[in-house]
Amino acid sequence: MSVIEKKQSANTAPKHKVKKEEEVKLNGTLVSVMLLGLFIVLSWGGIYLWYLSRF
Amino acid sequence: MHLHKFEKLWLIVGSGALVVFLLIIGINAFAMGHTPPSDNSTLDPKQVDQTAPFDQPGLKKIGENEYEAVIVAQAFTFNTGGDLKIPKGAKVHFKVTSKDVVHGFQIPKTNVNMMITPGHVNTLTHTFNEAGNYLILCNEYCGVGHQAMGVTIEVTP
Repeated sequence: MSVIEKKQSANTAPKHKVKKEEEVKLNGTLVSVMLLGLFIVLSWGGIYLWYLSRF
Repeated sequence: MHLHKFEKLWLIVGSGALVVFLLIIGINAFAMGHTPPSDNSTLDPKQVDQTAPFDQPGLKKIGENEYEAVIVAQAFTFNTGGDLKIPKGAKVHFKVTSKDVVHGFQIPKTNVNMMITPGHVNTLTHTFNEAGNYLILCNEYCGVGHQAMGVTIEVTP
């Protein structure tokens, strides 16, 4: 929350007075989220194909 | 509201996956007819023996390698009206009801798996592409003899 507030104040305040806030690094989070997503998609797809193969 | 570009990315991927899953299930249900095993018809569970087609359970040939199996589930057996013997590749329409309590109707290693509720006609179709003996078993606990409740379908080559 504080990051967002600082960012907003940075946008409105004169640029020469406020140091630009660095973006939060979310690379690790992105990798974990995508791995979890891949697991969900693969399990769903695998079970669905298995179901179709038994018709 | 500020969103990190990665947050936007995984929100899009997550919502997209949900949409795809729901679309596949929707197409299955509405276009391919993968519906729950019921044909929406009811009967009086006390009058099963007098109600057609359950007054004459058994296997009936209804087409080219196509059969209708009328089966009555009751504690603790499936009344199949005789042997269930079909040739390989036969398409069987199962029509099952219960005389007493809720039973299960499952053929392991196939997608045949339904709940047999008294007062309802439960239907499922399966094509037996491989020869062998298939077990029909009850998978809903129905009483003291539940574990003995099962019959065999013989699929000849």
